[in-house]
Amino acid sequence: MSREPIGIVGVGQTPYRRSNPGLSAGELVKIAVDEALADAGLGIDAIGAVIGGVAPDALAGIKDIDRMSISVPGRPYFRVNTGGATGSSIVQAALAWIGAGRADTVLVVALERMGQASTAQSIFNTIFDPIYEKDFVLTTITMAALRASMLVKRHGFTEQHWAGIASRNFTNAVDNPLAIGARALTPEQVLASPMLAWPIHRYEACPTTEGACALVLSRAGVIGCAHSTAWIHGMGGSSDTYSMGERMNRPEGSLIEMVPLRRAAEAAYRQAGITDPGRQVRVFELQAPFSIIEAMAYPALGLCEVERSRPFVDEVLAGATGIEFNPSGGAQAVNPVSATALIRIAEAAQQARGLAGARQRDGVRRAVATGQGGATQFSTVCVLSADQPGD
Amino acid sequence: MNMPAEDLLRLPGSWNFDYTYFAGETASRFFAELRDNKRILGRRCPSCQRLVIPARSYCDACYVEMGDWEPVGETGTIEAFTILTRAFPGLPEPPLVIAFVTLDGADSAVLNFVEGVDLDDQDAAGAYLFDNDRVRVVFSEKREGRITDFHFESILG
Amino acid sequence: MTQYHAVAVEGVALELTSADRRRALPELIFSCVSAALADAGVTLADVDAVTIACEDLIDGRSLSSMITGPAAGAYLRDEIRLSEDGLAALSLAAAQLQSGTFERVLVAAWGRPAEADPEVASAAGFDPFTTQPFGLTELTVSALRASAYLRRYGATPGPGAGDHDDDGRDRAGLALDGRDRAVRARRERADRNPRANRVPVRSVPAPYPMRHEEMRTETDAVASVVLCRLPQSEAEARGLVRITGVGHATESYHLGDRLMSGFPSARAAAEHALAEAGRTLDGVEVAEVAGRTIWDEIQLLESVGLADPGGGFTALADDPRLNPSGGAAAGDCAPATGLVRFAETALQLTGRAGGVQLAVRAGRAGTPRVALVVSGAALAGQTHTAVVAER
Repeated sequence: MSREPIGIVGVGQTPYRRSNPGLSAGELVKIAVDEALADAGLGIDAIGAVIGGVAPDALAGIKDIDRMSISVPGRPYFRVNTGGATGSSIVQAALAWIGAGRADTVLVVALERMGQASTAQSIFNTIFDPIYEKDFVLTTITMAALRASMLVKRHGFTEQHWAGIASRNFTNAVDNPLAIGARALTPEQVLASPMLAWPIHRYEACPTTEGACALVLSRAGVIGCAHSTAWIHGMGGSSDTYSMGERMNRPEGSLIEMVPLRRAAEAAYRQAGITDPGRQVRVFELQAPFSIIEAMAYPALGLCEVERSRPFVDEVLAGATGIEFNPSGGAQAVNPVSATALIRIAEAAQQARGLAGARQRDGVRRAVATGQGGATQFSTVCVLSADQPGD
Repeated sequence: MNMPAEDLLRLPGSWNFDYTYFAGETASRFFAELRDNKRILGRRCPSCQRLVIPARSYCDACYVEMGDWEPVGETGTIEAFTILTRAFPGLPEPPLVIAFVTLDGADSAVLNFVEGVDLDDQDAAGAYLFDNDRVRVVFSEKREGRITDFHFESILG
Repeated sequence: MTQYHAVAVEGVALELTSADRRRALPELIFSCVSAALADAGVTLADVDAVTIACEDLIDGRSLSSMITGPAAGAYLRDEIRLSEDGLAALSLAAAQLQSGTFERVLVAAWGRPAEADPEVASAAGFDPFTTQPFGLTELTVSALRASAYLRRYGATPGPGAGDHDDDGRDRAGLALDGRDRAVRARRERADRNPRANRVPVRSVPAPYPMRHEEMRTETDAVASVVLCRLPQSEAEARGLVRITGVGHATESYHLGDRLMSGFPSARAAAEHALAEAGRTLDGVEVAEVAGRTIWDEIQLLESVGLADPGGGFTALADDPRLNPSGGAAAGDCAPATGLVRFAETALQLTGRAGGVQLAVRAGRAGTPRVALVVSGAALAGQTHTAVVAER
């Protein structure tokens, strides 16, 4: 963490929908960037660097689509690609850039154009090891399903749990005007949806989504007092080995304990001075494109002991934790892969700034956003607050 | 501007890149052992002592070269599984079971198909696999030196 | 850079091979990164974070860092991957250190053309509506640039013919004369470079007006650098190379806007890096510039100001400071390119470059002390990074 506090002063997002045939990549980006700059009260000249996030090129079908849409001539620019964690990795990079004194203000932009892909899952199959594993149809769906089987076996989760989490996320999304086509779903409707890979039903996974998200980050010295800011109190990241087989049962924790997420959270909480996240954090925006991933995230985020995973989910579904999860609907309602981790940070920021509109929750001082890439392999945790660090 | 939807151009394109993936000596030997000797060999890390399959040439956790080659058992335990229900290019007809299995003696799990389970009722199949998580390795008659030279079959409880 | 702390280079390694069937891509990376750690005299346990540059389409894995990241040491530690040239990853790593986020960062970059033809992948980066139909690749763009250069300075009558330099020599004549000598000099340096690999993975026909010997030697390439944050005094006492200046710049995406004007982003990046380091071009004692072909190398030299307009070939032939490694003729593949050039530079500064070591500076015996490295990335040099390193 840099010594001078850094805050988010501008947020811009396009509406998120399955595809945007009327807009070029650059036009999508411009919508988000213009909104973020206007929110920050800045022109592009105030921006010292632009950091772009685009995840696997195959989803858009164009190599380096950021070159034609995100990069700004005359400004330092580079592209980050950490899969689903991309949106949070660009924030990490921006923190380093500002902390190093290379710029006072940085614009981060993430763009997803997967509406151009005809079959996303075929593409997701090509992220896996071509030598030992590609023969078995690993996709993001099947790798989540494999984890689900472990959760059932070790913790006694049932399909009601997955469906309950999904239902809550979709219902929250109805209040998010950016989640185009969102509709509330009951757990029964979730369970009635077709099976993708046992035991994951279609409505326990996320839809194909396109869109762009942009944030403006600045150091404390340049932020005016009147400006509504979400201060970054902590940012942690951890990447794991690839092989799921080697992560099954390690001393550090089993595959379903999400070791890198736990480590990222510990680092972020330490920087932010959080010792009891269940009480000290009001909102969590979780990058969990599948409801089963959300169930695994709770203990990794220090919200309960691993052994109490299932009872904790029961409490979450009963609304008894005092924590708001995914007021935006989360990654389950809207999941443009390149942008999703940035959207979690954007949504958490808006909650902390009191600017989340119909989805605003009460009494938010601190909010946490998580990011995830690969098969729960890259994890990030970002702690945001309405208060400046040191207040 | 308000162009009619049908005039909004969408240009078709497809990607079809060709690659030749180098398996390296370690993976090549692993596959050769499957094909020629019907054996599953792993390599043990001299530092953490894990026996890892499929064989790797270095240990990610310790960041050192793997050491000795050792065989693992031909029975094991299912760690995680799922039932595939959708057809996928290049794959046998669904429904199919894939699972990560820790073979006896190994410290990591390996992915492969599980055959011989009745998949007409998937919930029943799932319950069965939770209750009967022991499997045995079965080698194919015709082997090509690929990971599909073997598969798992349930050991009836 | 802060006055008190330096970004120091503790170790470097580079490996240029051709289709080594004994090693899978992760094993190539493991080998080079292990060598860099050994060169630095540290182990992975001493490394806080890993910063990577690699491209999915070149690696043939749609989220390459899932599988290749751990090979570069990203095991339960912070890791970020840029889809950029390796020099940009080095720059971000330096920022991560300067911001105080980490104490030691490992940087790695690679490209393995033995597994796929990078030219084919590069075609997918061009605009599908206006450019892809014409079969453009990074190499054919180099050829277009070469023809624009020839048109300006070549013997065929064009606008540049009749342009004279300060010594009264016709620039057009200089350009042609220098061309053959520069090609020979470059090849001769590559032959003397103990790290060079002169066996290309594939032979690519040279698009007109370029000639075969003006291409790069396309090899499997991996480079790795260990950076750490040290007090200035300690870095100097240990005789470590320090990164003293960094610059980035970006041009318009559209080729028509920039093909005919050299590489203004290289110039802007170099100017920024030199200004930060408090150095001038005259003070640069060794320079490594990364170009796809010799035509790109010489145009980079001219854009940066290390050669006069029209004098790029002559400068490369006659000025021993420029690309002493042999540049891309010694073995190359994007996006390892810029990090390979940096590693060569670090070896020059520490007197370890072997057969291509510069042994004269400012007219007297001694290793170079001030270096400039410049490297570009997609699309066809749209962005450039420049780094000044000193010892």
